[in-house]
Amino acid sequence: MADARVFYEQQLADWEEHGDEYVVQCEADEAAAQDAEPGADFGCDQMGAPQLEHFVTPTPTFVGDEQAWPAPGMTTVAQLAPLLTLFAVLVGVSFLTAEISTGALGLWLTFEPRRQRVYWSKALAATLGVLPVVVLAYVVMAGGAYGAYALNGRLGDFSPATWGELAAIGGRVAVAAALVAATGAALGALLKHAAAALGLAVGWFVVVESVVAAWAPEAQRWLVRTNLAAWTEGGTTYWVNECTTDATGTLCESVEHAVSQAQGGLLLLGLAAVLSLLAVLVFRRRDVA
Amino acid sequence: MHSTTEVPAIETRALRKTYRSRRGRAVGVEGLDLVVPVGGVHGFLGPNGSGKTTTIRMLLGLVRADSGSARVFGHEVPRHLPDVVGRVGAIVESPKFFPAFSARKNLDLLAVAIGAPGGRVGEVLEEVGLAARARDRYRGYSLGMKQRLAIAATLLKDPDLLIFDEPTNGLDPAGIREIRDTMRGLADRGRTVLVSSHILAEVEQVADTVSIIARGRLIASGRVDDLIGAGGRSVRVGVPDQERAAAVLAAAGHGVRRDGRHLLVDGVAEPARITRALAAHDLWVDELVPVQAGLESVFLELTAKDAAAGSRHDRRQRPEEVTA
Repeated sequence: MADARVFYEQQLADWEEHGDEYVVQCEADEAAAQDAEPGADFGCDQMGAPQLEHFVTPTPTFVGDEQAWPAPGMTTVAQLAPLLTLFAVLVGVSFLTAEISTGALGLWLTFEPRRQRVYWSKALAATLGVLPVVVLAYVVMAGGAYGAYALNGRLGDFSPATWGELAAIGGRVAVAAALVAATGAALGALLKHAAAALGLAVGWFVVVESVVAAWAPEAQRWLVRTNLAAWTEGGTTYWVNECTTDATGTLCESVEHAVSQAQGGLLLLGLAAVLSLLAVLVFRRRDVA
Repeated sequence: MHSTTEVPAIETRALRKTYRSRRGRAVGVEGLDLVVPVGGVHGFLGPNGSGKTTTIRMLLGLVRADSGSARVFGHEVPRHLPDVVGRVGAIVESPKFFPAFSARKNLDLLAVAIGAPGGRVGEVLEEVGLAARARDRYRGYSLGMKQRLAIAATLLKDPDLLIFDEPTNGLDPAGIREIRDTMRGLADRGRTVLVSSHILAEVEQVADTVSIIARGRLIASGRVDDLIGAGGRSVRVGVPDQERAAAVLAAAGHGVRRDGRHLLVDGVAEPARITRALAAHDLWVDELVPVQAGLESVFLELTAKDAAAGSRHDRRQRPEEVTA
């Protein structure tokens, strides 16, 4: 705040000394530009003395305009909550690989040789097992954020309906965590080693999806992280640089594309289903050490 | 004795299993015909890498055979294993229990998971002799007690057939005896016990029947007494000039082996013939002791023959690797 005030006072002094010159110069430049491009508007009539609030970072509220910067607390919670699914993939992978590496899976199969049943019971246990922890972590995260904003009197337009919105986000995060855990269990069953399964999952997110996003931005629609965000945040957007070339040259502009919540949910469900079915097929045939 | 028409506890026909290895296909089990009768302890013997564990894993549906068939109580496995698994208890790995829980707690959890009646836990602990230590933590158990707890776990579903893969590995003599007595007790109470081992003396003391495999093939099977009898009687001969005596006896058609300061002469019907043969060459015997062959010598003899046959076979054609 002190820095902001110093900058403000410097700018104000400068404006008081040279403000009129700036306006004149602006209008001259605008007139020159209108020779080449009629209608050019440099906004000189908007120029005025600096205001202190322009130098101070606005303090966000818990509920507010989602497009504002900094984002309101609830939007931040919705954006951070998908990180809880990292825990889910860890649990899902571990549930299967730990049993394989210790030989407990072989022991189980001597009691229940129907492998599909054994696989689905393990995958279900992983799926349900993550829910209490993920829900608890979300409650701590959302509750903590609410408490912090409330203590500072920055709840914004908070209403009883906001609780419902927070609960809906939490519910979607829980569903996503369950699907991710099932996907992790399938990866664990397919690759048998925790390091390999987790390496693949992390490698996919960190390397493959980043490379795809950089080299083929239009493919972001089908990336897991895009769809995970779409599901948990109630829809998301991604940007693609689209260029057009005509006689005057090439013009590029960033175009925003929307991904619906339904698509996000369906993609996560489809990924979990396909990998789980593949894991079952492999698990049915594979020799158990 | 069991009726010859009775369905065996286990029966395999031409069972074969190969594995992928860096040098091509490795043979685990090769055309195995195995019959385990109902009742008693059946020893499943073979050197390390002979295919015992692979066979057991195929019987339990953990490993899939390339060809051949296997039946448990007449049910084809693994296809109909779910129909018969309730009658089979097996230990194929070292015991897996929660170290911080007591034996009873561990078994209670397992009983709930497999739907065994609650009272069954006390019964099986009693059966393996752990009732008095049931409330002790698992981590404080000796290896023998841990193995007995694993046996108790297999008994939860009251099986007719128990399959133990090398159950005494790592145990001290007292632990080995505990397991041996436990297996004998289970068989005496009407169960069929299949125990794989490469420790012959241990199996000889407890088994009623045995099957011996080497290089994935069955090389002998039958009652322990019959196999030992078929091995013939040897005679330990003490004689000052061993070299000449060995040559004389070999020339007379006897199988002769060195055994320290003695000669061991195999397949002797009348020991007096040895005395006469040696005396004819002025060789005077100072010791002549009949030695009954044990299962170990039968086993070594059979597996040595198989190894020799295998190496001849190997020289004739490209070898198929045997898993270790």
